[in-house]
Amino acid sequence: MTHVLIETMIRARLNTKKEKSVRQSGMKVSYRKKDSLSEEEIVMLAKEDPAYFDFLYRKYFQSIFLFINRRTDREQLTKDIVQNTFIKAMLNIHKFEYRGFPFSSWLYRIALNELNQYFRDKNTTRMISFDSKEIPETLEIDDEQIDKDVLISILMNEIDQLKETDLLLIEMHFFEKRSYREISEILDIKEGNAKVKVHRIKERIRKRINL
Amino acid sequence: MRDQYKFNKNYKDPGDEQIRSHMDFDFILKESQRQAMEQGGPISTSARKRGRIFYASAIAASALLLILISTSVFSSSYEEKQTEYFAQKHYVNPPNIEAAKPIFASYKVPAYDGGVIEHESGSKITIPKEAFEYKNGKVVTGQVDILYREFHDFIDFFLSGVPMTYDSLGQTYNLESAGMVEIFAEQGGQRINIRPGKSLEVELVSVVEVPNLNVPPSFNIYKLNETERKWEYTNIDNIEYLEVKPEQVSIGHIAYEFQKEYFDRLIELEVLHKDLLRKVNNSIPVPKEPVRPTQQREDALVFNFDLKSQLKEAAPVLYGAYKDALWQLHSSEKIQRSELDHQWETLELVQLNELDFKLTLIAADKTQTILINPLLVGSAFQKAMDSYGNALDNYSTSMNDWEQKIANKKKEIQENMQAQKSIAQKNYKENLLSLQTENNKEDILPLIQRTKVVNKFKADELGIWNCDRPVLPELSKFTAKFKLPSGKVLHNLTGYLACKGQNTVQKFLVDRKTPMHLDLSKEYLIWLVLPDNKIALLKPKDIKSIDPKERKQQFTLSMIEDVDIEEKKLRSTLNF
Repeated sequence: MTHVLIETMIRARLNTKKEKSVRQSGMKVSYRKKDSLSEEEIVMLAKEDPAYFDFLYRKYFQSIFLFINRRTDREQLTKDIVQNTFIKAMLNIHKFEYRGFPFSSWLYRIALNELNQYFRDKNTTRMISFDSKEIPETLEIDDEQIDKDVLISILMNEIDQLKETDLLLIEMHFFEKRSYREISEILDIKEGNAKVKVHRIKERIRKRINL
Repeated sequence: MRDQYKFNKNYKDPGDEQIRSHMDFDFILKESQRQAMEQGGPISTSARKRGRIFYASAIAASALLLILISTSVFSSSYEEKQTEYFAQKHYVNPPNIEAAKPIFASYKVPAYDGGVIEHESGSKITIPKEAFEYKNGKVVTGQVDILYREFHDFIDFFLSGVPMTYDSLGQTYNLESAGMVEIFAEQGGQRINIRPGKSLEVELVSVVEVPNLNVPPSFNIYKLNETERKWEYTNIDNIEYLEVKPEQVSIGHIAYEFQKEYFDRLIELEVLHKDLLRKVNNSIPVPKEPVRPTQQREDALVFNFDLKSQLKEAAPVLYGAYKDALWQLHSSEKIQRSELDHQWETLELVQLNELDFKLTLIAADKTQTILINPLLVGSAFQKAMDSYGNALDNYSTSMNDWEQKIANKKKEIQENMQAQKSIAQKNYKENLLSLQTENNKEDILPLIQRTKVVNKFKADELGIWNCDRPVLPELSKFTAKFKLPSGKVLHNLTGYLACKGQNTVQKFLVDRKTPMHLDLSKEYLIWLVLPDNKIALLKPKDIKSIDPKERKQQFTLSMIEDVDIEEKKLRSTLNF
């Protein structure tokens, strides 16, 4: 709620500022809708003044938190990694350039680096989280065709064989329901490539259960 | 399996509120500034600025670095200084201008009967019967004096010295007011209090600037807690128009799109509000009410079945207390004893709810199912009743705690919802203003007008009550140096800032370099009360004329020479 509240207020203020600067520059102003300020412009402002980063922080905090929490399943640890992610982002925002990908994918990449760094430093095994109730539907398998526990066990076995990059694909597609486009943006791979890999893994599982 | 990963098969995402509790932008900001300094540069400077730092000569680089670091950390050190400055002052801190202070009106009311006060502004205060108590808790009788005053505009707020900021979830807002009241009650010169459970009904008449719509403007009610130095949200402001003819524009009108957008947003918020309130009761598990041990009903059929092992399996929690229980037929059971007289081979017991069980009696030739309750007698019943009493006390405490938590959550939802409505309304107003030109003023202006309203709320304590809504401070920023005509630079003084169209006044610390958060397209008035009680003033045109690209500004204030300025002159001086 507050997230929405503050976001809306800042958006309104930034837009007003933008409209006024256009007006002051003597350009013809028809009228602009209040949500016309792009994220690119907000990032631009945040590069100049850290106060504007607050908008990006509030906008993406929850999604980054959830992204990390699924991989740690420990809230306090998640909090620490999320903090490091945003601190890194704030320190490096001047390096960020728009190349067709949204700001969020850049944040996710920082988050992934922070996560990997943590697991490397601590030499611990990372967590894979999902809701087993959703698995048959996710894999498009009729739960009458196979016992759910058996299916989960096959899936876990398959996942356990995966390399980190393939694992990320599966997590993001199956468990987090992200689009191929978003996955390709976060992992910096081609959308088609993501589709093919996910399809292959899905087929491998289906073959294991003889469907 | 290679076991290279761990799995959680029953993962559930944490709730929104839980996630939000981990947000701390101040920490991120401070920590990134600290790390930036360790790395040798300020944060959020453009690549161009960094280039200068890294490629200039060593001396120049150090100097530049110092300047940039000081700019970068300036704001937070100023904030700390400002917090410390105001912390040393009274929370309600009126300026030292005696002649201009708002005065209390005094009304006599019989404490036993209560009564209605009608103030000259049109406001009404309804005092219920036996509403007051002395400090020792004794009910006040006889006549009491009600001291009452109202604050309506930024000059009233300035003169009363009430703070106009509000902190919620780590964000500081300015409070834009639709009016404020201060109420006290005395008897024989001694302050008395409102009795617990009693409240005064306040109907504060005020004038607010609102879009001329079917919906009243959104404000909240806050109570000033001077001890804890904060405003406390208490409820929404039940505001009603006194003089307005709501007008809705039709398709084709220049403002139609904005008005539609605004109405849609209000509907969206209403739906969201209802949904959130509906969900809130389920957000915290309701404490389970303990079940009273059952006693034998007069007409009940009682059995002495040995169901110990079945009970242990079916309801292990009850086993300790009910292992030696007798069993009686459930009150809804209609079966006759004769139907149960049989040689049963197996008894199966299933718990249906707390003390209701289904018993299945199985024999070679027939099966019978009945509903039964365990039944305690003698000392076992007494013991169970004692435990029940304790459990009931715990339940009552947990229930109060649960109710309090739910009430707090609802209050938070309500507060946020009102704030969002205020934002929607503010955006709508700004949108309308952006449409306004010399030629269409007549179309636009009737949609925004100052309107007489009545703010209705209940005051369950005496003190200062405020009908307000929170607004965020402006983001655009520069540093200002304030000077007197003599050239003397002002510092370590309280500055006051008013913005046209916003009914509030902000207090700030005037320092040698004061960060100002202003939107230069708006009209502002800044003033200070100097130690000799004279007023130094910076007029809107002086603020408007600055170069917005210049990050450092210097202002020379004009002086009002009156030492104890009269209210009339003060109002004409500060009017803009």
